[in-house]
Amino acid sequence: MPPKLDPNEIKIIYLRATGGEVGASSALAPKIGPLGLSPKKVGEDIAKATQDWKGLRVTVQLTIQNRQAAVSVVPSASSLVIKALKEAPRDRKKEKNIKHNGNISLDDVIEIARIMHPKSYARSLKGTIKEILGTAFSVGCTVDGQNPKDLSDSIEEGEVEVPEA
Amino acid sequence: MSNTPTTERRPAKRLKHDKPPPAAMPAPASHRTASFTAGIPTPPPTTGSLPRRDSFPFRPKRTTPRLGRTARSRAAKKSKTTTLDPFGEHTAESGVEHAIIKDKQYFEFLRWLKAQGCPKTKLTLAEFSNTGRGMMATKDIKAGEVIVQVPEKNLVTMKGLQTVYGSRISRFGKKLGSHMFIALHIALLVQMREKSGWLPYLRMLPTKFDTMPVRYPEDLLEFLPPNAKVHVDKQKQKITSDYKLALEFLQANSDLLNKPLTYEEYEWAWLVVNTRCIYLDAKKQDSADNIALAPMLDFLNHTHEAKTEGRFDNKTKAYHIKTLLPYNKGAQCMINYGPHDNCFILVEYGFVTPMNPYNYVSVDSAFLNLTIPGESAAAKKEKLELLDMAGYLGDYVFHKDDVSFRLLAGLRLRLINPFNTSSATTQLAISRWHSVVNGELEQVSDENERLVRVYLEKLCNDILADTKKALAALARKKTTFSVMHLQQIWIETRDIVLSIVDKIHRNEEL
Repeated sequence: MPPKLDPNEIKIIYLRATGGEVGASSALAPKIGPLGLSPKKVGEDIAKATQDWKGLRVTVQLTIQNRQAAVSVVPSASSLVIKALKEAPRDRKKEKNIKHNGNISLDDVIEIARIMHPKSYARSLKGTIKEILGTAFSVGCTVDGQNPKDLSDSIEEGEVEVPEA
Repeated sequence: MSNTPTTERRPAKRLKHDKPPPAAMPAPASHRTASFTAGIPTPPPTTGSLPRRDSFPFRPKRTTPRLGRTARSRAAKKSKTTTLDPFGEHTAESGVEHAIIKDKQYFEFLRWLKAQGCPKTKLTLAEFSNTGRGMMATKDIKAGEVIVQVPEKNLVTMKGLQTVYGSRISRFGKKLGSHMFIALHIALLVQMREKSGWLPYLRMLPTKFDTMPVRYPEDLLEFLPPNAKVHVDKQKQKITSDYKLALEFLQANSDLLNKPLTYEEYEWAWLVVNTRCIYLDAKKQDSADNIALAPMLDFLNHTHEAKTEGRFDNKTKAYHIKTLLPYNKGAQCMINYGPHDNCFILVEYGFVTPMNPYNYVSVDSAFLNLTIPGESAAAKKEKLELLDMAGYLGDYVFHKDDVSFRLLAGLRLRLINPFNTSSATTQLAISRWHSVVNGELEQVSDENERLVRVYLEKLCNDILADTKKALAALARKKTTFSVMHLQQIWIETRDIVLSIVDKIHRNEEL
């Protein structure tokens, strides 16, 4: 494969990991061991790259080029909403069935919508904002003290103004 | 492709053909000699210090008489609009010298590009002290800007050639690879000279590829690292078989030929394609007609730091290259050929880059030849089969400060001794080994882990001995670019292996 701009052997692996924690290498080893990467080291790299997401489940993207792995976090609506709730990090092993009954502001939602917009199929930012409000509803939090669904309806009716872009 | 000396109106600004490029060599082995263009012989580098400023050969001497006022004011205007002092300016940050190339061939090439409908770029061809010829930014370039556009008409692709050669291809019956066929096309264009309509471009191509390992003389070939040698052999076979196929094709279509196609001519054209082609659609590498020769774009040099995106734009019907990094005026614009180590780059493109993070040392043969006391030949065979089944056979490498997980897995299995598949202890060890490979356990046993370190060091020492031998022999050779490239590769090999030895001595985790 001589020519230039050669995408030769760029492998992309997605996996779910808990932010800031070194996961079990048994989850990584079958995927990246055959590529010559040390599961332990990559596990540590993932923990380092997800420091901002302590205790949250996030999707991690591993880009592997010529036996070198680069870690990046794939933004997802629910992770971003939970992050915006600013809950104290908790031990996932001890607490089960966590409820997210906090409150975020509409500005937070708009900010998240901006991040998610390239991934969303919505035509305008308004559509993405409504998508995020739906995620907030499923997470179980309120937005500006209101039920996200009600807020979504009032955006639809035009009672609440949201930016176009 | 002979290079006839040309008559000039303004000889002062011309880069002299008969002179070697400037001898400045901050990082000697980084020369892309393969990208030197017509007529410039690969110079034996004068070692050491930077050249004096006056040795940079482009300072003009007045040869024409002093002109009138209008001519002077025009000249002044012109020098204002030409963006750079073309006579060996220093770029601020890197201390790399460059001179913009202003010879007749290049201007003819630019005129030809314009006639073909190539849009103007912010780049110009220049001679750089560290890389040889490359493209220099004549204006500041922002991140995300399209740096080069090559219209479809200018791309040499299999699809385009199908319209040129038409039914000859389908009548021929055998499948023609795009690499093989584009090379044949170039070779035929060279034979046609003026009639081809491509002469201005062909004149810009390198006359020879002496820094490509395929063209190395016998006595240099033996200094290639083993994995590179295998790579070169494969390349040679490919050229020979492509040449055979090309001859067959020409026999069926003898009207295409002016004179018989020699192996040298075809090899040259094949290497032009090899070193200068691009993938049209980077995502689907395998589809046959996916590569293209793109005039202008192929002057861009490689660095692993560059971030570029290339794609064929269906709207404008042109191939675009977008840079994701900004470039200052006067800096060399680079693209990224792909995540390659220096051995690969040397074999495929004929140069090496400094500080390449993708460098590695292959230890496959050292691993297979490793003798471990207490390991019978039968046991070794069984182990290798077991490795193969687990998908861990081969591709054992060292990176800087890093031993590949595959090599560790291989060594751990090799060091289970005595190895007797019918005994319970061996079976237990094997099942523990599987768990280690799958990340469920840390190690097979304490003893095994200790031995892994011992034998790793032994592997390192074997490679270091080879490295030392190669470097000593290379030091006795006449210094040419090829020798310097090889020297750099061996020095990098030594550094990588030494970093591993260091790690073992410091008792760090592998």
